[in-house]
Amino acid sequence: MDIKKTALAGTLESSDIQITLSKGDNGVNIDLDSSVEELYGDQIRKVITDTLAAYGIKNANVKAVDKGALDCVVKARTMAAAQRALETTDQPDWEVF
Amino acid sequence: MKNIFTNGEKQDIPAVLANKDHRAAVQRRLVADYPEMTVVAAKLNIPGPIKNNPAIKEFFIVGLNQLEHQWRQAGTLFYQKGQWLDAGTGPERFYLVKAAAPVVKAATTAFEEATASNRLFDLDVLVKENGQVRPLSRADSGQSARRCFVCGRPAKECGRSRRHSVAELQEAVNKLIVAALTAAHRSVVSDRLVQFAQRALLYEVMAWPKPGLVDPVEHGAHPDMDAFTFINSAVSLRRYLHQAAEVGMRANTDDYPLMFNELREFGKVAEQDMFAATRGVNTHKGAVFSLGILVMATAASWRKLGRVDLDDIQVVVKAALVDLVKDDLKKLPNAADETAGELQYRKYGLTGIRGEAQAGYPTVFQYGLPTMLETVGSWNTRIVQTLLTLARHTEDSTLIKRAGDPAILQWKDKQVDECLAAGGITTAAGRALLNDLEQEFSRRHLSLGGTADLIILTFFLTLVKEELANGLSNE
Repeated sequence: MDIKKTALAGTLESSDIQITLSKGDNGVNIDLDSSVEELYGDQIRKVITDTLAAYGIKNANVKAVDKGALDCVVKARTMAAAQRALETTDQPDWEVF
Repeated sequence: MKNIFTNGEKQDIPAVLANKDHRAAVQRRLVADYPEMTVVAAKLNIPGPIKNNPAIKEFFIVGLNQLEHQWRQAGTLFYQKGQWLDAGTGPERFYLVKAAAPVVKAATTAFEEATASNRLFDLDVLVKENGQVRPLSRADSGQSARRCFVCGRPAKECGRSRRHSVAELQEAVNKLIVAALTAAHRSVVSDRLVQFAQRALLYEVMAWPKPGLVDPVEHGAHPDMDAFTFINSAVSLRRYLHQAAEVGMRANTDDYPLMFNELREFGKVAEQDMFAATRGVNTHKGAVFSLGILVMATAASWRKLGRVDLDDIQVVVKAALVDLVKDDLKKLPNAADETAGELQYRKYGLTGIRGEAQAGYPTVFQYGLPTMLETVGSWNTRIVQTLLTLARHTEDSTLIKRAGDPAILQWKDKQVDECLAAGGITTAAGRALLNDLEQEFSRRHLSLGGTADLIILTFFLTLVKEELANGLSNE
């Protein structure tokens, strides 16, 4: 699946993550800014990559600003951003979740 | 300990995230609409699925009252701009504050750190940066990050790793909220007791007819004062009554005699305040003593039990005054500034109000209170009827002083008995006798000043029973 437009989900509050998805042509590139980067950076990147893969997204630039979000929140925000970027729906598909 | 998490609507992650989005939209709008103000978003950090219920909501409101108080103390202008207190995702409120964001952030951080339970508050100070609205972080102003309220590690680490179980977190939150609400309820009860005490002083003077006492119609027995003098006096005692409630409600001890000693120091100042307000007339000296004791004891009993128990209030009074007669009367110097009570103990062996007080005000509890609680009708009817009953069962030291002879007590008892036999204030015949009696007291310059103190005490306890015994809302 190809990204049709730049899309954003999530807020900059504590325990949340803000995901911005835009078109890319060289795989999934994640620019992560996290207050728990050292401990959880790899895990956050993996959750984002896996979630995008579930939507068939293979090329994308991802800007992720994390404020200590749990995996389930990272996943939910990535899903919402993906669906908006794919213009499928504005609401996350909780079945995928 | 009570568990506040037994009720409340469980929230799932989609609901929490949707609420975050909604909040972010509200914040963007407020920041755009009020560029000259700093927007503060107030909410709670309640881990686990239950994020709101009546106890949590009350905790939120009580805490924000303190935040607002802190702002007012600092001279910071602010106003509320929207709130949702009943949302399942938790109570929230927004403020617009007239101060620069970093200044506001320093104050909200100070609030969050001020007490253990304030740690549950999450006060976001919002700034606009690169077109986006974001909360200032503690790091922006060089402050250290929040600590976990269970173990003290950096909060983000514990949150991310889910180090603590929901049960463990809820237990910690429960302790903090229950303690904060207990303190808040104590403060509410203190305020109520002060109001009851002031009403007691004012209602007593309003009731008519009262033989030998000041009322708005007649004060022949006391030409040096009128009802207005009593209003001045009652109002001047507000600070003292507040101190009495605070001593009982705050003192972290059950050493009641020690509490009474502290109260007496406040009482000395209160007497000066009273004389200043009345230009030297003694309106409420006895009431300063007895009402102060009863307010203090009621507060101390509430602190101990968390509810109203009249018998326990009497137990506390007795404990506080255990040495009163011994200390005050038995070591009397034959001094020139002897009070009426002291003189009568020396001359007639009567222990007066001190004996009554040390015994736990038996006249009030045995005669006054049952009469007032059983008498139906207006406050005037209830007060005057109770006054007659109390007068009948009191060796009123003011009356003895005015007559100069304790033999006056037999005459007083006979008059009151006749009036009560006729129905007291509840019948026309009783009222006629009551009016005659008031005229006779005035003509002979006789007073029932001691009985007036007892009616004040009885009325105070009646309010405690009728208006506080059912507890506070939300309990």
